[in-house]
Amino acid sequence: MAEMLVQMQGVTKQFEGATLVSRLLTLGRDTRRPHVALRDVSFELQSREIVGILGGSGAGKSTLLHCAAGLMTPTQGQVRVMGENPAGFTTRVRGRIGWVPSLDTSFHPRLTGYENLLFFAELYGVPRARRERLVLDLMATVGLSTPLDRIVRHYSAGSRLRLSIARALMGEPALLLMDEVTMGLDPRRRDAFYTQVTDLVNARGAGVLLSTRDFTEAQYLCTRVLVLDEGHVAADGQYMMVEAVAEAIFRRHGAEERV
Amino acid sequence: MKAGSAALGAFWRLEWRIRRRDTRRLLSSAMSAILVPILALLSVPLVDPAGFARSTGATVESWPLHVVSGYVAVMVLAAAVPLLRDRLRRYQETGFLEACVMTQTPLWKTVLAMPVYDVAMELVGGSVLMLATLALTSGLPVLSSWLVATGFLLAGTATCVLLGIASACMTLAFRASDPMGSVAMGVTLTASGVLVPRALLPDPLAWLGALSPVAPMLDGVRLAFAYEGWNPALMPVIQHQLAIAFVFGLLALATIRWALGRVLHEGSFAD
Repeated sequence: MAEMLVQMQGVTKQFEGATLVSRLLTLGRDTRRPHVALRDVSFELQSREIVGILGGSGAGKSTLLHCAAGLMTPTQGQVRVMGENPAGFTTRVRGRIGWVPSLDTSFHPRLTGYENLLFFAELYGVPRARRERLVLDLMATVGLSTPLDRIVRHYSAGSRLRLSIARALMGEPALLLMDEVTMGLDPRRRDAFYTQVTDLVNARGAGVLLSTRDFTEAQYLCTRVLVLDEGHVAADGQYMMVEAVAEAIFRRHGAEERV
Repeated sequence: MKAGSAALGAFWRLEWRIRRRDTRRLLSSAMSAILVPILALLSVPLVDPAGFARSTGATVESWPLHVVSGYVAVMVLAAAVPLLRDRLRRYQETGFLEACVMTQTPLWKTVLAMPVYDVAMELVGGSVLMLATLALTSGLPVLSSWLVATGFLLAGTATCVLLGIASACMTLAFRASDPMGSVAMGVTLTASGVLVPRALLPDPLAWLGALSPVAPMLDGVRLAFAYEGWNPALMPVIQHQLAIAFVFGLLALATIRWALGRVLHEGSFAD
């Protein structure tokens, strides 16, 4: 039976601009203006689903993912991940979310990939006796063949992505959140990534929520697509059903946005 | 899997692995650990130890310990406040902090674990240095002196870490270096008795210096060795230490709570 993983109801996220204190502390460099990133967003995601959030720059894709990950609280509305508020830092829910960020710098650059995974395994509370075995198994699962003694700053973009996925799988997640992770990957590595995600969903029964600007990715990888336009859901359904809406939005914002 | 309780061990091993690999950094730390105290000790004859003794009522022989304990206090404070602040900011910029938070380790445990390696190293190095100074000047201290001094060192270090957490959380919230840590360093260097005894400073400056997290630690350590162990004269210093630790504890708690709320609102665990 499918498990309800993410429920968002009427989620609105409004950012305030720079405050006087933050402007003073940054010597005027903080020039953020107030803006609304998400407007009344509602959707659900169940296990074994791969839902793509398709939208251009500033559409609110990352904000939505951050709200689902509990890394950001919405201004209005309700976010439930596996029935709980993800921002509550409850151990049960956190442990079941795998996070693959868009930043490929989220590892310690002075450690090797293997050492980075050992570090995160410790933070995940993996017992010492199981740690090394688990890390090696995860590296094999994601097909990371980089030498163990190579430090992360010398990794290719593809290897970093694999490392990131290995870290996300460490807590045996029921939900994987991925934020524009295939940007900068060549087509061959991108195809390998699609296969990997599909295999993970089939093998572990996890649900995946990923943000993308790539129509091909939305078409071939996602079982459902949520089209975001300036913070609101413009369309929600299978790719064939939302393609025309997404095309129109991307045309309006300039063709160069489309990947 | 029991998560969240292993942050201390994880960050300890992380720092150890980095230092083991980066021999340049290791050498530079070792050189500064050797050279700075030597320079501090060489400066002793230049600063009129006799005048120091006349004005503070201490003995001339206690001047080297005065200098070395001041040096140790500054190093501990530097490891606990600006180093932690800069490290946390770097981890925020790179997304490393966000990845740590997603492991369900609470933010306060992550922040608390970050400076432990550096602070512990400074504390161990400083203790050895003070022992060496005492051995060279007035002979090895009695065990009770050493125990009392260690108590003050640990309490003062914990207070410095609390200030460091508050400063780091301000940095995290505003995504910019916060001035709190710099002010604390400035006050400590000029008015807390690191080099110039507080008794020699004008009253307003001496009062300001007494608010530094290292002020009671310095008083306690110096008196512990001067009195050779426990003495009722240490009681006001203990009260001072407890009051300062309480204030900085409240400050750290309030700041971490406020910063977490702000970071969750902004979604700024990563830049």
